[in-house]
Amino acid sequence: MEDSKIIELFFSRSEQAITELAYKYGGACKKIAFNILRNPEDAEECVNDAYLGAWNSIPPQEPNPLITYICKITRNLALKKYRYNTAQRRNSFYDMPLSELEECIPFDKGNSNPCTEDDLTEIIEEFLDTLDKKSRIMFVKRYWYAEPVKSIAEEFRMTENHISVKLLRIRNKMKVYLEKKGVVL
Amino acid sequence: MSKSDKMSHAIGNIDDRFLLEAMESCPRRKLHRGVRIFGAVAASICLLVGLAVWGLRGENGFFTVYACESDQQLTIVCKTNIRVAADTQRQEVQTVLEQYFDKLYATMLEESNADYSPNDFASINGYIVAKELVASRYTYHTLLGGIHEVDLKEVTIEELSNQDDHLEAAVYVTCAFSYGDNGETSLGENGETSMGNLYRVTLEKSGEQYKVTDLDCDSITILMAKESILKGKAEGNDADAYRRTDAYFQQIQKNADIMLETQKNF
Repeated sequence: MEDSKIIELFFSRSEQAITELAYKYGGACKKIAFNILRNPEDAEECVNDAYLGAWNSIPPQEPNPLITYICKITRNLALKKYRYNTAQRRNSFYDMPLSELEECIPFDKGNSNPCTEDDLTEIIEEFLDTLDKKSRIMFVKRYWYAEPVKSIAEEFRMTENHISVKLLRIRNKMKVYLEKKGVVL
Repeated sequence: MSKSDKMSHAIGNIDDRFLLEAMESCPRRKLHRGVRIFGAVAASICLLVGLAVWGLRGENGFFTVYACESDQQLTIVCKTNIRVAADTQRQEVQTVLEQYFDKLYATMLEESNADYSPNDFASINGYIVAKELVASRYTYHTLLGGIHEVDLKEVTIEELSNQDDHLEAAVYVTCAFSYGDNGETSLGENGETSMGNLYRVTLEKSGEQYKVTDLDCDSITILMAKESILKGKAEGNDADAYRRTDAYFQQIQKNADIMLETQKNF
C-alpha cells in the first residue's frame, strides 16, 4: 500500500493503518531497534511503542516520507531503552558506536561556548555532503542505523578490517571538520 | 548527557535524505550473524578508568590535608573549595528540581486543573512539555478513567553547568503513576514508566533560591510534537508557534475523543 493511503487510514482512525504500517515498514523498524538493543523482545516492544507513537501523532502530523518518520521514532525509543538497559548494566553493544563517536569530539580549547544540538546536526549534514556516496552511506549505516561493522562489510563486499579503517578515516575527517568549524561540545 | 550522547543525538536528527540514501543501498547480508562479546573489553576499560579516577581523588584528598605548604598545594586547596561549593550548589539545585518535577507531574492528576501559558516558560520548549502533560491528563481521563496517583521515583542530575547568568542541568526523571476507575492499574509495576525521561532544565537565581525558567525533554511524544509544531517556525512568528502548539494538543485530545467514540460503537 502507498504511504499516502496508510496516512489516510491514520486520519480516518482505522486500526488497519497499524497493520499496513507494520507490514510495510515493520522489518526496517525491527532491524534498527535490534541493532541498538541486541535483544529481540526489547526490539519488538520498541517497535510496538513506535506504532503507538505514530497512532497518537497522526493526525495532526502528516509525515512524508513515512518510513523515516517511523524509523526515527523507533531509533529514539530504542536509544531510550538502551539507556535504561545500560543503567542496569544489561547491554553494552551500542557502547561501540558511541565510543567510536567519542573519537570525533573536537578538542575543547576552553574559549568558546558549547554548540547546540541543532547547530551540530547542521554541521554534520554539511560534513556528510563533503563525503563520497559510499563513505556517507557507511557512516549513516554505522552511526544512525547502528549496524555492526560485519554487516556493513557484507553489504559492501569488503573485509571487516577494511570497513573499520574506512570508518576510522571518516571519523578523523569529521573531527578535523568540526574543529575547523569551531565546534565545542 | 555525555559528549558522545550529544553527538549521537545530533546524528539522529540528520536530514531524511541521508537516511533514505543509506536505506536504498541494497543490503546483502546473511540472516544469522554472530553477536560479538564486548562485555569483557568494556569491563576492563571501566575498571581502568575507575582506578584512575579513584587514584586522582585520593591524591586531591591527600594534598588537602597538607595544604599551605606550597603554591601547588594551595591551588589544590582552592580546587577542593570550588568542588565543595559546586557540591553545595548541586544539592540546592537537586532540591529545587525535586519540588519542581513533583509539581509539574501533578499536572497529570485527574483532580488537577493546572494549565500553562507562554509566560510560564522562557521558550516554546517548556510550553510544549507542559502542554503535553495537560493533554495526557485529558487522554487518561477520557479513555482510562484518569490518573489518580503520581509517584516521582528518581530525579538525577546528570550534568550541571554554569552559564553566564544561569544554570543548565541535564536531569533524568522517572515516575510511576496509577490510572483507571479505581486507580488499580499501576504503570510503575510493569516497568513501563521506569525508563523515565531526560530533561534539559534552565535555572536562574531568584533571590536566594534557584528557579526553573525553562525546560526541554527527550521524550518521543515531545520530539514528535516539536517536529510538527516548529516545522514552519521560520515562516511564522513566535505567537504562531504557541498557537500551533495549542492546536496540536487540541488535536491530540480530539484523537482521544474519536477513540472513545470508536470504542462505544464497537
